[in-house]
Amino acid sequence: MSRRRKTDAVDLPPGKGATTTRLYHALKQDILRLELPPSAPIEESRLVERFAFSRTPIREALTQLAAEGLVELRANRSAVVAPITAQSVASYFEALNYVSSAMTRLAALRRTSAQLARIRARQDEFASLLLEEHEFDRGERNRDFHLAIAETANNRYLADQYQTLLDRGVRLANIPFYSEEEEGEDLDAHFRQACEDHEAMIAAIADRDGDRAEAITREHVALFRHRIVKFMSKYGSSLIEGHGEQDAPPKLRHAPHAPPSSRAGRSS
Amino acid sequence: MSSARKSAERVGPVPHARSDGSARRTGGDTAYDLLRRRILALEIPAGADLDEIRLAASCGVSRTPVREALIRLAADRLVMQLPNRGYVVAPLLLADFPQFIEALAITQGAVSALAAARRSDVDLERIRAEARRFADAVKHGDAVAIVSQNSALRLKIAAAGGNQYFTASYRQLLDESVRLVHTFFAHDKQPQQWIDHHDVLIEAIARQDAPAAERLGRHQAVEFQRQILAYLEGNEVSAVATLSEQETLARPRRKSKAA
Repeated sequence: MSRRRKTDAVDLPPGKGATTTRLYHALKQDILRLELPPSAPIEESRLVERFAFSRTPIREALTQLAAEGLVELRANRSAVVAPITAQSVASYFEALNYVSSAMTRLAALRRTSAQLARIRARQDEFASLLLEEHEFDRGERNRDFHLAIAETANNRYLADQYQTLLDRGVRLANIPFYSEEEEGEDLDAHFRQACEDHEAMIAAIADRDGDRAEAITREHVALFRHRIVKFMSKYGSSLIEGHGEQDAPPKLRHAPHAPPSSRAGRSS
Repeated sequence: MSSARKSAERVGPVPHARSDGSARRTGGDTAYDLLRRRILALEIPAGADLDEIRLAASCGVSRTPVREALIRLAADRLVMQLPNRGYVVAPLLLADFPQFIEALAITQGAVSALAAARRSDVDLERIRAEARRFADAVKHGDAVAIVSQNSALRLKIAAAGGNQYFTASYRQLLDESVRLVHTFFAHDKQPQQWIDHHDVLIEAIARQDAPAAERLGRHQAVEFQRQILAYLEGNEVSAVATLSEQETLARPRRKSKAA
């Protein structure tokens, strides 16, 4: 699961700020990067050891993460990282599709030129990332780009909701990335397409074209969904004979590491 | 089918001849059956806390049989024990989904092939009886009963294959698939597709065509995966089209054999 992880633990980021806030950010990063994988128990005693803080700020940070749906707290039991179940994927994308297309539409209708420049700047940061050096950062910079759009939409309630969905998206996007070595060329193609989508969104927002902004955002959500569906279809199709490329659902390809076909494996 | 763990899927020529003593059901059996049914029907969702005291009250038994049931359900991988001894309903993690489908396809292919190779006439009659029960369940229209009867039929096929190791893991995989079915499938159109699946598979088993049975067992698992993915893509219609292509794909072999 953690083939690509570099460090065992993310140390508390240096700097000012209340202990709880810093703990919150450190734990959140661990969860979004799957260093603390979905469904893993979070043992407070370990955190006490690791961060050398008392239980109180740790409890507070966990409570905050629970409010965002990243952690599940149980009375008298250890907290666990919220699982990402196969079943939850459908409703996640349904929600993301609705909220993100609404946010981008509102941003197009309401943006000031200063806000447009901020969105532009976030996209430049995202586009400048090279995968080898910034394996985690792409997901997080992508989120920041969409958050800049959310701020532009000028609706705090929707923006809160959207931020939660985007955080979950960062975690979700890391699943195919971590659990198998996703092909570098596939990731690059995905990244280039994401950049194109972002550029089209910026253009629609610049033109104050709400319809176009919304339509592009739906396609952008579908792009993400395809990546997850592709992960879910990684094994299986290669086990049946007569399954050519043309049978695969659109935009899906055979997994390069899939086991040999049943034809080769059958001996009796 | 519901007390399966102990003896229902026992393989071999011996019919369901349980003595009165062995058929006696304990409080643990009751709690196990009830909890298992509720978990599979998603009445208790994945990730939910399983509180022994509350479960004991709702099952009408004491805490000891509930604990026994939880241990058995943990062995079935339907519940998970947390480090500090609490139990939760096990989630099917997205990260594990590809492996799950792979295991289901391979195992379903294997048990179907073994059934075709080894089935006795009595086995075949039992399989057909389960298929009739499936048709009855469809007529009755209760989604939970339909899906659970599908598992019963599939397990009867596995039992005819006579390999208890395969049967045990197949049962776990089917349980996981039941929860996916209740999440993703439109129950109004699913049963007819399943009847078609059962028919072609039972025909292959009847004519003792192991390669065809294996192919169908795998195909049907992969078809299940495709329909879930089609649902996610918001495109169920094309999944149905794919299914009928699959069925025609499976048929030529039968013709060529008859010819």
